[in-house]
Amino acid sequence: MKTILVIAWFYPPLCSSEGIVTYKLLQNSRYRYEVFTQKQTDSWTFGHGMALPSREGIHCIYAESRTPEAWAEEAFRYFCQNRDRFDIVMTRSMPPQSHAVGLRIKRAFPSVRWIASFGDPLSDNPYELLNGSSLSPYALSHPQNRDRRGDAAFLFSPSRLLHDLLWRLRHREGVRHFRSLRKLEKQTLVLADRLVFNNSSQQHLMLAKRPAGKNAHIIPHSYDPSLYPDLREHKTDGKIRFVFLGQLNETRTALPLLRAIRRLRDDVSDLETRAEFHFFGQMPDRDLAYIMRKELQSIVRYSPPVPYLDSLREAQRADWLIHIDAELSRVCRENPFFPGKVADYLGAGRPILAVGTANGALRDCLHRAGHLTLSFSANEIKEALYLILYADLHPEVNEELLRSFTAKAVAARFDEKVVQTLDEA
Amino acid sequence: MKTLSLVVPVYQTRDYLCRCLDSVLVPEVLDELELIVVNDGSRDGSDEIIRRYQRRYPGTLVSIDKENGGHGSTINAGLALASGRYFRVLDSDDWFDTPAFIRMMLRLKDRREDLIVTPYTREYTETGASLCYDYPQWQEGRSYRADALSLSPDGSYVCMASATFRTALLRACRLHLTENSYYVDMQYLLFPIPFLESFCLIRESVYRYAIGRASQSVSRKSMLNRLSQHERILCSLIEYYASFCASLDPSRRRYMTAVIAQMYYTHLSLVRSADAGRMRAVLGFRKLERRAHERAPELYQKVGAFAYLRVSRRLHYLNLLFFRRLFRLLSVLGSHLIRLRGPA
Repeated sequence: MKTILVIAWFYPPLCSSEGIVTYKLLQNSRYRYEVFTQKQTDSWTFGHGMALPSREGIHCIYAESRTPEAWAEEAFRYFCQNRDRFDIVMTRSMPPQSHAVGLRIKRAFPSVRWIASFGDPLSDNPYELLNGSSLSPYALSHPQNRDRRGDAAFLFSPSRLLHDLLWRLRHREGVRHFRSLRKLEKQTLVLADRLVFNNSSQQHLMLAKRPAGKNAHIIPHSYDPSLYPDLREHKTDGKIRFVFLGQLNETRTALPLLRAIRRLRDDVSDLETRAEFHFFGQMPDRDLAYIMRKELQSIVRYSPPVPYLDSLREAQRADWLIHIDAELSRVCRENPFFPGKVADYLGAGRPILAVGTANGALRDCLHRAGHLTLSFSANEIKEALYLILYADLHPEVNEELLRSFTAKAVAARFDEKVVQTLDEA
Repeated sequence: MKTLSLVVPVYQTRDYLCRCLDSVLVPEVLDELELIVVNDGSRDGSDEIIRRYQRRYPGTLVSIDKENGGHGSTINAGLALASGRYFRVLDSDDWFDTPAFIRMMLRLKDRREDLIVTPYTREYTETGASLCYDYPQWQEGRSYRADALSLSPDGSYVCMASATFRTALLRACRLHLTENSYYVDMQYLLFPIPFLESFCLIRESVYRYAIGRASQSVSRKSMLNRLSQHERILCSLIEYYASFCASLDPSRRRYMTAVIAQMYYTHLSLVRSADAGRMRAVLGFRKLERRAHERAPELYQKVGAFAYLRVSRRLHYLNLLFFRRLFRLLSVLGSHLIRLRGPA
């Protein structure tokens, strides 16, 4: 059996969500892999040194380069030198240079089968659209103007046209970058033999206006039960412990949850003896300031990021796990994100309280699995917290659905697609 | 006799139903609550959820499974079965603030008024914003005679989310809402008014009114699609007002005309922006105007205070049919010109 070459900038021991997702898939697959990666720089990661067990049949090649562009060049050279050993190349979308290598290989060697796997959308990424650095918010093509495209007054508004022009002049670099990403994404979707998305909403978004789609598959993120510690700790304080693991920022903020906690504390007198909220990871100053200003320190705790395996232990120690989404309703109707962290949450076997989960695959999945999906309304979150703490609300988790997210089950689905790809070769 | 019969109409709201039911089924109120869940022919698995809750709360939850007949039919069915002293409706995609609900239930036990008003909060679930609607014109806990009924300073009337009626009052007015139609909440709110004797305000914001679903009946798009239903309900209100206005005291007349006028203006704005079937909508509106003129001249005169409607009447409603886009374009250009000229 020939080996599959995986071109991925992020891979353990670098600690990053993207790398962990790839690791769990390869580790549980039955094929042999060579992973062309790097450990020269740990930018955009949580550092080196993530010690995860590796099975036989996975071999990592570490590039010397420090920039994604040079790394991509090196990856292409590596493939050319070892062309005969690989029938299939798989690329991951973060950073986009990985797909650029796949594209280059496919063009140079059309007989090579190429699996393009997407973590997040490249060009129509709602976060980028929201930050306003890639597409003019005055452009008709911007999703926030979707309902006004037929409005003649908006269409010919001199004010809109002028703003649009000025915005484009001011963001020349961003616009150029956005165009190149869009082009790369389009070519990838057309030329790749297999397209792998991690959820159906992402697939809808990315294939909505594209000619490709026949070879698209959904391989969801997974959890690996063997990575969780065997926990036998018993709690003594009687508090219900809510845990959030991950990164918060100005866009993905804990403020609605913090507001709900504050309102609940004002409503009931004994909240601090009943509940504890522990945030692990990064928290923006605005959220931290809110905790201080509203004197929530006795209820809300904050700790810096913990290593991946420790985060799994913390997830298991929690009574409830919290997931928080960004407010993206302005730029997308269906949330295309399914964070790898949520798969790890599912594996921890604890109920999940998901805040701000808009319509989309993530919401559907959590809902079907029996977890709580709430909007950004602080009152709705407060209501849910009240019921959990005072009315013993406990969701009935759908075990069968959970089993379909184990790394073994997901990797088996992936292997099936690999077989089909090999058959086509 | 239980204190409150709470009717939850359910139609294709599987994703929100648990949130709604969990918020009211708390131990503190179970003895005083009769929860009537009316499944209006949902085919999305809501019935399974209702059965599950019925098994868990046999002494509190009663369920009705019926053919689809619209919001009004569920309230009619719920009212026929209700045995509580008070009656309230909670839509299955909304929820109650549990602590506030518990406090309201405690106070409801001692009340005797025909109508209990509570503030409510609109929850804009997409953005997380919330807006509380209060009734500052009334004092908390004080019993008022019906002639004290009025709009709040911001123009809000007592709406479905804030009204708890005495069940006997609803039976006395033989409340029967139009079936297979949206917007029947206006009938629910206005039909009992001529029979009302007293009311009071309990300042607990109990109702959480979720806004944000595109399919909601209050979304502009669905209102445009259901223009004929809007017209039908408005007609029924005009008729009802006409048949009772002679016997009403001035303040209740004022209240009813003000509420109907709000619906009237909404209807006019819908007719104005209707694209499909505009001719039919305008003709329907003309008919409606004629009926208001004949049956309720006072109301007709009151709604005529709105300049646009006055102009429309002068132009025989032709402006609703033609030059619509031209008028809009002119107004947009005008606003740009004003902006370009800067502040005076």
